[in-house]
Amino acid sequence: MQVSLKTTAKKHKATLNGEIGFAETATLYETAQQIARNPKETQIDWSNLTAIHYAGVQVLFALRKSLEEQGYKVQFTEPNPQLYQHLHTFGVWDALIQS
Amino acid sequence: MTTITQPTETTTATEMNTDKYLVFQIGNETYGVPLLQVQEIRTYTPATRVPNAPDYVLGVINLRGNIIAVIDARTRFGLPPLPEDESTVVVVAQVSDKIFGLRLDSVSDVMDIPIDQVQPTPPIASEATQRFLSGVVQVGERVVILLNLREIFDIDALSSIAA
Amino acid sequence: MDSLMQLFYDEANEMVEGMEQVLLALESGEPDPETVNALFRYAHSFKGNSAAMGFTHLSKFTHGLESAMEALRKEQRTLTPELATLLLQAVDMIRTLLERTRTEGDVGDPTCEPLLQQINAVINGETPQPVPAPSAPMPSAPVQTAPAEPPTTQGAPQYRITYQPAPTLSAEHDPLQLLTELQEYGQVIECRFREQIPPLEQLKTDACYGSWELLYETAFEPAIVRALLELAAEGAEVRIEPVNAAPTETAQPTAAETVAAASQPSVATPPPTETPAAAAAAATAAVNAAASKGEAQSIRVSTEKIDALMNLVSEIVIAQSMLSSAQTADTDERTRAAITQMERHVRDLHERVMAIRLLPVSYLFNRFPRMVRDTAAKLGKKVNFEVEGEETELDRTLLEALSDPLTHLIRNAIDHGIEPPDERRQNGKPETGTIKLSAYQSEGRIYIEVRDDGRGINTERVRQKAIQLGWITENDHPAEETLYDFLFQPGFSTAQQVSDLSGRGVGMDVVKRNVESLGGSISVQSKRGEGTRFLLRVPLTLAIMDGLGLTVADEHYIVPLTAVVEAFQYESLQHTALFDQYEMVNVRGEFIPLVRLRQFVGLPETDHDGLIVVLEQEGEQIALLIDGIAGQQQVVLKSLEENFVRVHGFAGATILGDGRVALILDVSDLIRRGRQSAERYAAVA
Repeated sequence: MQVSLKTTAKKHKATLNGEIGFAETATLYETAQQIARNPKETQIDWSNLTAIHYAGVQVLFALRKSLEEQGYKVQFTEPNPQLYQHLHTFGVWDALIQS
Repeated sequence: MTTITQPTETTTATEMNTDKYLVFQIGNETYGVPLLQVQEIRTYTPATRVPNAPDYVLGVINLRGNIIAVIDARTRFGLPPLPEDESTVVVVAQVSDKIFGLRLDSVSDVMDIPIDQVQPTPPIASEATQRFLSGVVQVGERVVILLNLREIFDIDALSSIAA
Repeated sequence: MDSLMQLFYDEANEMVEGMEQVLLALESGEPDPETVNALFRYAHSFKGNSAAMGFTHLSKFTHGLESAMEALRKEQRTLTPELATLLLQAVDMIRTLLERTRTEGDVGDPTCEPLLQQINAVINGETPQPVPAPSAPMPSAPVQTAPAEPPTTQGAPQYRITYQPAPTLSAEHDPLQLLTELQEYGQVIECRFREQIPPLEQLKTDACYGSWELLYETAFEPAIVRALLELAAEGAEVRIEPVNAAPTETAQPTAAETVAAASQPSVATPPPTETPAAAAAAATAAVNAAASKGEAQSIRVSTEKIDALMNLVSEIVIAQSMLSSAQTADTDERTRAAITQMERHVRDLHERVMAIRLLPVSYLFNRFPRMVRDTAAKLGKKVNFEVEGEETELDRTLLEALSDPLTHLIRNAIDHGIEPPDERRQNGKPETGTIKLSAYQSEGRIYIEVRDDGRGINTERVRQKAIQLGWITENDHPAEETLYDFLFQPGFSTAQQVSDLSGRGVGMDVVKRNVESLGGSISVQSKRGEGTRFLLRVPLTLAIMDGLGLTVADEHYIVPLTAVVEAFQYESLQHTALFDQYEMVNVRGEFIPLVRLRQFVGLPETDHDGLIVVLEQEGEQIALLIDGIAGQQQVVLKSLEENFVRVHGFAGATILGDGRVALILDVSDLIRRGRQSAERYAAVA
């Protein structure tokens, strides 16, 4: 299961594993919607995520923006080095992490 | 129009090794050529004569922009040619990488020929025409003589037609 | 092989050819700084490209060569023959290594290092030691087809790239993935990501809301970058601007099609906005930016596309001629006018499309200087090789097909034609023989001559040989032309070696057959002691020409309009028959041979008066007796050999407006038929 969500009273923790291709983006989007409907502090754990389609990246962006609008923060864990390289070189990492 | 007929033997087709052949009459005999070699069958249109070509070469025709030669089957087999009528057809076949046409009086049908049962050709034809034959096979009550298109359309023999 | 790999090989070949050309040019003239620079640029470009493809041995060797070039430039050394030979050996080494990459991947050769050392030694003024040729192929190394880590493209050009991906994302279209691929062909120095991603509720997961701007360094052509980014989906907007003043490379176009677009002014700043090319899965279009010499812009187009276009135009010509012939007396004015206009446009279209297929013969001729140099050296002959008319244009396929025949003729000229220096000196000739290759256009045909100032053909030997072969008897003394014809017959040259004749093994008969299969012809002239000239005649356009219809009985034949001089009523001309056999007619005071078309095509004679059509080719004329003329039309030349055989007397066939096939007469064969009469007549007159 590439995307799993654990919700407590105080926060959401979304775990992203393996590869999220274009086909899995829909699932990611649904999970993001679940979070946005019930906004809390959110942690995205992508330490086991090796690759993600750009569409998935956009979903994460959009989620961050939606939560921020409502005053909640999104925290990203230490990424997988492959993923980091991929996102960093093309300026996506910086844009995503900063707010 | 060609129609497909079933072989008259009642054997399980799956056990026999058969190939489809296009079958036709020349004179009194029935001949066949592998259907795979046949590109198409057209009604006959007059060919443009090629000067100094052998008599069995009727000439050349236009096949969708390509120039191909048409050979008269009867003449090739040493028989006098017949005037064309509505049933005259040209069977377009490919030999090596060349396409040519074979003019026939008519085409009978497509048959499943059991290739395991093909016998070598007995010396039934003159020496000249013997090489056109690649075997005989009994299919039901008919005897079908299989043709060797490569020999019939022997490009090397034509190799260049001197003026 | 993927298309980018193919692109690498195409460009690699161009660069290697370019290097060789420059070296040969340098050798025969003063070291022009511009040409040494060109050499340097080729090596440099090639080094970068091969590094990018992960072929490190190739890249390192080229780097060594590049350094040597740099030293040559700095030291301003002259290019001595020894140095030239070494550098040419280096080019051969590059070719070898390049070939090996196809089958063995990135492998080197033990002679690389020594060769480089040699070259450097000579440049630094030391005496060179002989270098062995590259060794046999190395034991197979694992084949690498994936490029290695980011290349060291020091000093490679930099570009500012703006990338707006196509608006729809899909499994195949992942902009991040495409950008990642860029890293295999160069280095991303800086990158900025711009996004307008809406909040989650408004997000469409398959829409692209981002764009990128990057500073990128690569030795590859910008067009490759463009192709990469546009590959996955249509609608991407890509802008590529060079950053430094570094001139962008141009490689000389090879036999790949190059269409010259409108010429742009030079170097460092090609137009800032490039129009997005249509993305095709196999992106074969590449743009060569203008070189410092200000060459016209060109694009490379796949030959399949050109062929498809050519075929379509041929079909349009046929269809248009069908339309024209469908006109009757009742056809109204408007339709007639429209058809006339269409004829004009079709003709124009045809000419323009044909022009695309035309390439200057220099593409073919360029490979000869090297061959001549090497062959002459091997055979101990001194040969000066001249080329004329290289800008003459010829259809691309003809060009390729002429390569073998011309190679054979030139080799023979060096081997059998040109005498050894001593012999030449003894005969009062300069020690260095000359072989001249020239091309020119005349009467709708292309003529290519291979001329040498060597021994010439010994006609008596030819006659003896023919007697030996049983073709003629001791008493026969055929005309020179007939003797020359013997040279081209199969079996002539394969018999016992006759040293002062051309032909060995492969044979002149093959050359003749090759040329004739192109619709051309070959003839020879020679003078004992002075030299030999081979003349090849090939049609300018393979496909379409203007033809005149001639009728005999109910048969319709076509003759090229360019060969037609004039027509007369048969009765109006004085005619004479020598020995009741060889007929001539008097056309304005000159007697020219008469050829009866009915006889030529095997039809019985007729009583009716006919027409005379005077045909001319290369100064020779005949009067062709026909029944009638059927009008002029544009005719698409179709091959008889493709599915049938070559028929003597005919250059091919065509399809008339009514769908029937008409044979096209070969004017050379007609003239040959008439020549017999002319010879007899001349003997008596």
